[in-house]
Amino acid sequence: MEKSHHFTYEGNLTDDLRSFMCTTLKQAMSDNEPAAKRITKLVGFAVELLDNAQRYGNGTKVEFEWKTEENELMIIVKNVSTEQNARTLKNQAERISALQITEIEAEYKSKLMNQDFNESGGAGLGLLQIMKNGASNLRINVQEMNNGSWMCVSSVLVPMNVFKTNI
Amino acid sequence: MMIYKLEQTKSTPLIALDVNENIQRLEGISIPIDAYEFYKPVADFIESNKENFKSASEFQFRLTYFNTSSSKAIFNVLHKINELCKSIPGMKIVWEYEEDDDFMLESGQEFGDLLNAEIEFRKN
Repeated sequence: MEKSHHFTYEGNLTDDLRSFMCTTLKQAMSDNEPAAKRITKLVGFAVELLDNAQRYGNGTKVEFEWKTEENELMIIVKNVSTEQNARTLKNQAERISALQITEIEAEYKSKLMNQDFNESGGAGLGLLQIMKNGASNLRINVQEMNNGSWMCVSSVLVPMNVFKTNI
Repeated sequence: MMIYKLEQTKSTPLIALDVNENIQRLEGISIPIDAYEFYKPVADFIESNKENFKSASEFQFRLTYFNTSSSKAIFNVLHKINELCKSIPGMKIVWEYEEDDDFMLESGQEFGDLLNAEIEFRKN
């Protein structure tokens, strides 16, 4: 890692803000030589976590953070959600994390081609893509809050040297 | 309707479809929350004008990055275009990507493989 970066945002989420934050990440990662050929893939991790936060969140503020340290990129998104959405997200992450890469790729292709979108407009591909594209550690933690809502904390850790060896 | 155009925004691409032109173009960032709704008019336009596009037309895609719901919707648009390519002489799909952007190249190749479509890749 040639430079360290740290970015945080706390507030409401809109399409334009997601775009701004992902473009900021893309610009920052362009400084990083090992990641240079995989910038769009790295940005994709943030795109999908922010997408989930806006799509399945309850419309209140989110927290978004990414940082690069010691040849790793960490992306963290915190958002408030319903219990059902929180549990679904966590269960999906645990199920996908347990799959072999060949199974992830097969499920990704099957869902890409089926043209089914859920009632929130989701394609069911986001977490699959994150794992397919080399995130070593996808974690979704959910916790009930005092007001009956649920806090979702989604994070991915991306070892940058993986990209270096793949180039 | 012979033209379908949408200006590029921070989260959605330029859509420039005109059956009177040789170049049909989608360009920019594509991360709308409701990608199905965004791309449905595009797919519908292509379907309803399949007799009207010029031969040797190019459908050019130059995407900066996109979310996975856009992937699924773009796949459907590419499927429609690929069907056109089978019946309209010289029509082709062009997938543009930045020189260092392996991901965007691989995404286009994956679409092509899944659709069994011939896609021309252009490095910018």
